[in-house]
Amino acid sequence: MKYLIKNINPFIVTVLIAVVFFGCEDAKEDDDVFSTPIGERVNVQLKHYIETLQSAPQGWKLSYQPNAEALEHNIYLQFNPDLSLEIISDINAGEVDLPTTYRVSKSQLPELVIESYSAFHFLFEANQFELKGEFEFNFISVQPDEIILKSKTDADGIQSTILTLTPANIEDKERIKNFQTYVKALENDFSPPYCFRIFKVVDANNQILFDGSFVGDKGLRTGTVCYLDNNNEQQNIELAFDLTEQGLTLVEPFIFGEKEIQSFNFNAQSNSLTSNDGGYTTIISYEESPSSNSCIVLSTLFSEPFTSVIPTDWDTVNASFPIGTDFFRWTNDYGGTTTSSYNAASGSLGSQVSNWLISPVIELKNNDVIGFWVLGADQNTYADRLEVRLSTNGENSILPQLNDSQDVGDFQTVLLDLNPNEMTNTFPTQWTWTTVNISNLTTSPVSSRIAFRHRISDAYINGNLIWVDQITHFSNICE
Amino acid sequence: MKKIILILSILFITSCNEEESLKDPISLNDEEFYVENEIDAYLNELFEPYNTRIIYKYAEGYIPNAYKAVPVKTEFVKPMADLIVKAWIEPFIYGADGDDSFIKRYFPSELVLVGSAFFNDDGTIVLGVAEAGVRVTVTEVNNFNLEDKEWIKRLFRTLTHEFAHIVDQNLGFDYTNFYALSGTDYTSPGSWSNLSPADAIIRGMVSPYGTSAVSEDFAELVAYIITNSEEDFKDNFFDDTLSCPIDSQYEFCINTKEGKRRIEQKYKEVIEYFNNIAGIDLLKVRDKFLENTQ
Repeated sequence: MKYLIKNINPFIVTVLIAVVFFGCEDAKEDDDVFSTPIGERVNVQLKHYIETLQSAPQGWKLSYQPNAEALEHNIYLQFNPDLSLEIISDINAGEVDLPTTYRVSKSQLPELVIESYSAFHFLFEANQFELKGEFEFNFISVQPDEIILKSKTDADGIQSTILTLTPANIEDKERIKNFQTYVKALENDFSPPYCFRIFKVVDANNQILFDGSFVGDKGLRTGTVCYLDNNNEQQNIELAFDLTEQGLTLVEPFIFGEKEIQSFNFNAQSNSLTSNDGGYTTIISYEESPSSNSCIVLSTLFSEPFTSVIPTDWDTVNASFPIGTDFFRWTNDYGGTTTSSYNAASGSLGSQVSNWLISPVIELKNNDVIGFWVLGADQNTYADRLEVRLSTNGENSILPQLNDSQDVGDFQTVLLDLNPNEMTNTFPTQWTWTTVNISNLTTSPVSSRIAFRHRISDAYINGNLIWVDQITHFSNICE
Repeated sequence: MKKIILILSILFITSCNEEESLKDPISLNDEEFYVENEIDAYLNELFEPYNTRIIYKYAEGYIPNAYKAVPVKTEFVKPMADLIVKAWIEPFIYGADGDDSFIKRYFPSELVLVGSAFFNDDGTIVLGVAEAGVRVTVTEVNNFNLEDKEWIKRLFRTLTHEFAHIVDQNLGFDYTNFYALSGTDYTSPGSWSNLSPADAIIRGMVSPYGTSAVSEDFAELVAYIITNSEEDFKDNFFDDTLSCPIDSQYEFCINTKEGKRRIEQKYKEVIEYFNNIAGIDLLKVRDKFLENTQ
């Protein structure tokens, strides 16, 4: 401290003091330069902005692309004198065009804030705010025939999204309303029972030239085409698309035979999308017979991040004997995860850890995949073991009994046994993504529960600490 | 994969003594641009007796620095306000035998409704915020669902926790006996979340968060008393075993017994404190809370 005080430059101190004093005096000096106080001048400007927003008799229209990677949305806005804001958009087929108010105010710059949850917030919230949709905008220019806004918080360090509002006419409003209906019909076809699952290219003689499987995400407006290459290995092609009034357009074309395939027309009767680009007929459909290849595109049916707790529809059972103080529980380690330790048992010689974390009921099918992240603490001395088990009795599954380390309830099927011999330096000590493939189900789909069992044969000798996170169920939703 | 943090902080913003700060946008609610809508009118009338302002329209100044959040859906504002009256204000009036002077005096002067939790770029989440004893922020209002009793319980556990701090800050709770009972059992900063509920009980607290500081022990106890039925509270936190069998669980059983004995002592002290200092019967508050949230 003494060193610090001795080395403070007196000049810097003087400058800092001057900045503090004169920084606070600036506003007063400004008042002498302008004829009206700053607050009054700001309010005049804000009032002009509000009046211009409210001046378009049929409201404003805009195309909104929250960031460079996201897709454009058609939006209509009517700024009413009572500060309510009418929004009509194709975002989520119009289902989040919720009533809201708007505010024009000054922060560091004049800003437009959409004050209650609506379509703009839906985009902002999507993917845990990574989509960068915005609901606070700064005014760049305000003219009766054009208002330019800039996103306030999605700057990304490089560039902010610009919104250009132009006066709408009554057809624009109706056009977006009609588009909502169409988008809903199209989006319905991305999930069962009408489920786009085929991506096929045929020639003029209807000979199949490309045979792929498809799965789409209507929310993100992306799709995955998968196919088997010449080495019989699965290849995935990610496609992003914009919805158009005719169907959809791929952001980047699908290349086949050096031809670009990009624009698809939607046929609501046949639930299919067809493109004639490049002289081929390319079909995304459900109605066609399933792809003859064995390529499977899996969708995430659920993924539990254990954000803040172990959700109440999960079960934890400490069946360790003699029972200790710990159980499979939530911890804020690593930003929130689940954990189990050797303390589940008493730790005396011969005590056995059997500590369970059990999923809610899921509909499981053959070819589904269960994935999770797993980590063990130092395994040099004390080894850990983790079993993944299955019960196919759904709601009626029988949980293991407390204080009975040998009881597994009806979780008789072992899907995975990680380090079954409890060898040191075997259990992963780095976060490891682990998957289990579901097969041999006699009934498929079947209501099931998946159990994670931390198992130590003698907690006096073995067992340290494990973490399990992001338990995820993948399935081919269209099969 | 989120850290969850219950921020119970006092924030002070200093500037050059100007009326506005950069962080706080000019609120036009008090300016010529403000137009009172039907929801504003409803809230003003509902909370006027308590001199409380409900802030439901998004304003950056009400979101902690570096956090992101979305505002409330309009459809939930009035139902949420009604629920706050039924589950918070009415129980405290009932607990004071119909006297509303206590709740009028100490009910927060600002209640901020936010649609989501507060999210940080690093994945941390904030659920509840109390600032300087005057403002309480209610997060995750867009999860509003009267059928979800667990959600209601969790929400009002947070709110009554914050309110307990406000009462403590204004009326002062004497922590001498709490320290005497659990002085060495409070945890080092940030480590409370590594404890299980069973560990907390052994330390004489009703929850792991209660172990983080003596004031949190008090606030958690108040919140748990109000939001749990008598039967549930006693089942979980009062000792009902005559003796511990001599087996492998003996030490755990003895420690749990001892922890529960300490919780029961604190429970009695908290009940007595509210009765003596504020004329509030917390058990009646609890009964009304449970009745109104059935």
